[in-house]
Amino acid sequence: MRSTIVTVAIIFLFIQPVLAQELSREFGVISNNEFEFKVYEKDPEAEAVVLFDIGKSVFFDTERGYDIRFTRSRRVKVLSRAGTNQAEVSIPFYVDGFGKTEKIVSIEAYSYNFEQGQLFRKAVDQSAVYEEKINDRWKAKKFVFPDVKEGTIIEYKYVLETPFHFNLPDWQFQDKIPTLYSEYTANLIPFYEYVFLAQGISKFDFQESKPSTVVREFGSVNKSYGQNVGSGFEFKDMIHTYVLKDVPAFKDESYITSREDYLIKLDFQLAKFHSPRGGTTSIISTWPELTKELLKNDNFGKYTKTAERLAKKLLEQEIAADQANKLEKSRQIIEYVKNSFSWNGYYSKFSSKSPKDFVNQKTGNAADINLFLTAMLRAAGIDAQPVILSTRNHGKIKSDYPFEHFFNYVIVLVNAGDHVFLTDGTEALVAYNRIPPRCINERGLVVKEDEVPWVDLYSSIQSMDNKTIGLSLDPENLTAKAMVTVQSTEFEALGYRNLFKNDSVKIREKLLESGFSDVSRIRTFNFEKTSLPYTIAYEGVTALERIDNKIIVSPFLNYPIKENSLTQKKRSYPVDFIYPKKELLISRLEIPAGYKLVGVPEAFAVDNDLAEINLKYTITDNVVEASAQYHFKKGVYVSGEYARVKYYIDMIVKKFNEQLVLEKI
Amino acid sequence: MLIQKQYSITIFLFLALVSAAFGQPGNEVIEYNTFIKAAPGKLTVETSCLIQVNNKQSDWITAIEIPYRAGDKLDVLEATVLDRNGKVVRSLKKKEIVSRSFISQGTFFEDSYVSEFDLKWHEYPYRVKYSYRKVMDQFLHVASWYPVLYTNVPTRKASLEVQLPLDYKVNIRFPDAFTYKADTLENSCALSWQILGVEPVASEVFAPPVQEGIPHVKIVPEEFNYELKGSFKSWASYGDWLNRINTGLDVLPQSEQFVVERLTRGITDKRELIKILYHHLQDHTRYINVSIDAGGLKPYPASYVCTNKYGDCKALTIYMKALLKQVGIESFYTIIHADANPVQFEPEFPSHQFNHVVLCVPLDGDTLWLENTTSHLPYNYLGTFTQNRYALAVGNSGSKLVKTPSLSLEDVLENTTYTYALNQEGEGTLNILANLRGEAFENLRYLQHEYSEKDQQRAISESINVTYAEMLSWQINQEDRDLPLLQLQMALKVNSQLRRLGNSLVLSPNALKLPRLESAGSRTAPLRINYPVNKQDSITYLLPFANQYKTKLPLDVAIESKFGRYREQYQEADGRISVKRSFQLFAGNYPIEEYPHFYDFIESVKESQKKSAIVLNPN
Repeated sequence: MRSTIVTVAIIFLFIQPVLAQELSREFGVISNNEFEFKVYEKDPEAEAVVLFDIGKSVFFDTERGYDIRFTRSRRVKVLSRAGTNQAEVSIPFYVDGFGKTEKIVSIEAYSYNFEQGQLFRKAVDQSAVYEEKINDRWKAKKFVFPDVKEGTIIEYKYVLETPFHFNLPDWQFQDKIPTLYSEYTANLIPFYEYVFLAQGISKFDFQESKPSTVVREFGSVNKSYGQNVGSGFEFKDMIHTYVLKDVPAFKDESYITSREDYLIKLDFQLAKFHSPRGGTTSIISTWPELTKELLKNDNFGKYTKTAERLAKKLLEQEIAADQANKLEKSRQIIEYVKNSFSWNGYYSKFSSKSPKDFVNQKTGNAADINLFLTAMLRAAGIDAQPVILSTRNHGKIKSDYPFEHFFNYVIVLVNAGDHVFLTDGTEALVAYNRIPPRCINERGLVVKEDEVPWVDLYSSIQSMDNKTIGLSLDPENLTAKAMVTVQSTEFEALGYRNLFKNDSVKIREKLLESGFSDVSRIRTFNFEKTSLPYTIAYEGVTALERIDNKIIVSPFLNYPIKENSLTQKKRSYPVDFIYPKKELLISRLEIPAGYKLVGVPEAFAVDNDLAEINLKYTITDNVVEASAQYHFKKGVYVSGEYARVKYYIDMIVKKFNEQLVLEKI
Repeated sequence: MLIQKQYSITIFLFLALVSAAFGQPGNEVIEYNTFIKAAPGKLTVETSCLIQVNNKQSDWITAIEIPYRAGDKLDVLEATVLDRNGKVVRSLKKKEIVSRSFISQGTFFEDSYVSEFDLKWHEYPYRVKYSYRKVMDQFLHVASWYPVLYTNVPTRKASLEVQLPLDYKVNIRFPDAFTYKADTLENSCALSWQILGVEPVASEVFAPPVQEGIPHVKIVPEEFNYELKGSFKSWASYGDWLNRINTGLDVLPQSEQFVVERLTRGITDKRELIKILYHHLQDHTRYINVSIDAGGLKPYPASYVCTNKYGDCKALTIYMKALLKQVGIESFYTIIHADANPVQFEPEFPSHQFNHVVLCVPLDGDTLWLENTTSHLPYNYLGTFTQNRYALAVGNSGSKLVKTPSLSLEDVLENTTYTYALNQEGEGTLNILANLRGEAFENLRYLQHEYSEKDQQRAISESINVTYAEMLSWQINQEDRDLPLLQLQMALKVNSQLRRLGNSLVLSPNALKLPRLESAGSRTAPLRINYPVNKQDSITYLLPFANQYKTKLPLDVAIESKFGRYREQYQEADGRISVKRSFQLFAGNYPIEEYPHFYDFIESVKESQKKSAIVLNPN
């Protein structure tokens, strides 16, 4: 046994002369080994690798108490030309807009090249560190490393100071390029207690928690014969260290909720404050506490209260008072809000302006709109509660941990007598009792007094897309006239409404692109009646193919999907289609006089727990009716079901595109 | 917990014919007025806009963005919302105006910003009215004014008024489409332009850029002061100014002089010297654009590139010029408008009509052109972005307009061989061998040079014009980095390549990708083909079962036109069917009257491709 291991080790050494552990992990210290490292064996295609990424957070004394100083040093080796974009660095930092701000107090950055036996080190000039104002809340320091090419090593170190204690700087172990060594250290003081959340980590390569050897003081410490007689006291930091090695590059896949759900990272959230003066304040420890905090918050619960008075006035002016039916009244209010206010595109669970400014400016973020909507419903005597959630791009919430920052959006739960539904006021094209796809992400928390109910955000509502095609063939001119009706419901309808905005020019353009030569009589139905199916009807002329005196007809025109977008061989993440979808294609055509049908494709059918596919051709006298439908029964498929889903789509692509053949008698 | 209702769908539903609201635009610019007051060293521009919003779908236009540069002084003067009766229902507060960095695409950092605010209302139609003033102290244009805010929004009325001191000399260009007036005031003159009803313009295929189709007013000062005093009296005078701001920049630091010396020792052939130094530039520098202060026009010195190994087009060109100067080769800093479809140059109107810089090297009666921002392109290659156009070559002893060489048919030849080996089920392999020049070469070379292997694979897979194909392997070969030619080899697994029609089998060669053209009736722009297209495809099917069938080949095709030509040829022998296809399009400018003929030409090519199916009938 022993000898085998040795052999393996030797071979390993032979093919990989530079082992990762021989590489320096100290900023500014660099040796030959770093330059001899040319290919990362575990991912030979990598254009660059992170040699180390080391972060440390410590609490330091300020006049007001403590701020956090976060120091990060990071070294990257550029392995190919494609990796030279690593030379462009942007470090974002947060400004809260109320006087508190993060600060980048220093940046040091060097590039290293080894040429003709000589090490060349170049520093980034401080005057070439620029500041970009991304928006009102975020700025970024930006710089470019000099002298970067294949083989260059770049490293930078920056210090960020933050007054925000609620989240300690998080740590992402994973990047778009592989990381050889990633380490995070948090030096915590006894006054702030954090909960740590690890994602995608089964075991750290190294983990340790130990008290610091350095003694710190709080308040005035006066030593007399070794005894403290001052009013303050002494304490030691607790040092927590986490290390991961050889972290692979993050690979994006299609149909996932968000990178945030899969990146390997460590998240910290303030849980308790142990006052040095005695006593412990639980920052957030339970869901009822979190709910209570939100209800007290000026930009949440209090906002809604304030908004109610204003909403009442608006209600009297804008909404018919005689409506007794609660559902109908809710609908009117929701539609009023959707049509009167514009969403500025920002997600938030907190309002950004006073209700008065909101009503005056007619625009606001998701919370401005939905909290105001809550207030307006309440003002009308309808039971309405805000529901906080995490949007799809923001990642999933971890319901074991009552952390407020998991949530980034708020919608409304309406209880209108017999009808209970969720609503969102930001999208005019979504029905009053539906929420947009971005909100469909597991669960939401209903924010109300004395209770913490959760509400399911999964969409079990099936969205349909039905196309009915009537074809009349003109074999002499090799054309076919098609009368088409596209009728869609729910999210499929939303897709069409958003795509075309009911603009016939856009519809025509799209149809011409898809192969029609002449499009006329475009009509649409129910664009604004968002609770009803959206219908687009048109007539178009399309070309027929003639091969060897046979006429070829694609009964479903260009509508069937042409390519399977699931291309990976294996899948590690679930396939998330967001909602269940059903598509139905029906085509009817009369066989022209003087022709006969010679080729009819085979029927095809599948029906099981995952999907239903049904393709059939019915021929009665001289009329052919072709019908094709598929139904993906789930919104989300687990990775184990991937192969089957992929196969079904392959079959749809293959079968639904088959053609009919007519021959002259 | 949620109670949902499903709607059953009625098939063939043609009930109430409620048409979508067509006709009236969703938004329109009612008035767009610009007032400019120019004097040496100070330009004040006041802009006021009145916009009508007719429905919620079109209210994006009320998100106002005003761009400005770090040195400009910007004041928002007025911003209000008017309801349908013209009553002011909302006035913007100063605190609602926010500013942020505005960094253009491809630029790492620049000191440009936008001020933003939103003017929304909830009852339609409504109008928003706003005005602002910008004061600049350095400028090359008094006006470069288009009478539209957005090319896709109609403008009902637009006006420009320019007030100039009587002794302030300017050069002006504008078309007849404007109503023009000139008045003399006490010690200034007032010029004004007005236009009514400017309709939206959409971009069309093989057409000039849309801004060419919109009438506009250009005014440049004869004398200006931008870093240094300069003049637009002639191209030579403008070149002289550029030459002066570039003075002293093309000097290499001592260390770089040693590098040049080492690289070129013993070499005397000038072409060889240029090639070596150009490769040195390509292999050691990258394009990074940092544009601050006068950085839009004044280059960083060669030493900046030596230190950083990066720079923008100006800095990299100055550096290249310095490298050549070091070995005694004279070259010219040449400013140009880079774009595959550039706005037509106006040689009679000396002004700043440029956005890029290349280097022009006259050599023994020949001229070499060096593009210094791309490390992937060959030496002496100006691609689709800079070919065939005017440029201003700047020299110590004079500057002049020059014309860059144009890409010929040979320069853009794409030669592709497809070899299919199929069984009777239509499954098998496909080998593709493409020899690419011109635009295809530029794109693939860029991909090869700047993308990671994974991203290259993804992009190449997506570019294949064959359905039911799965990439097995691929390879890019370049024989010589100084030749504008790249070879792409691919092996693919294919299926469903044969269609069954009763007992017959049908092969349909993949079609050429041709753009969808506007029909002759709806075309609004003239025809412009900036550079030629030249594609030659050879498709071979190896069918071991062919002896069981009789092959019926389509007829050969030859289409000739003044715009180009198209050919298809079919052959069959020993289980091998081959299709040869070539498509050529010539560069040129044609008036809109000729467009229908061009349309017919392209349509006839498409039509003939529809008849390209090859039928195998059983014996």
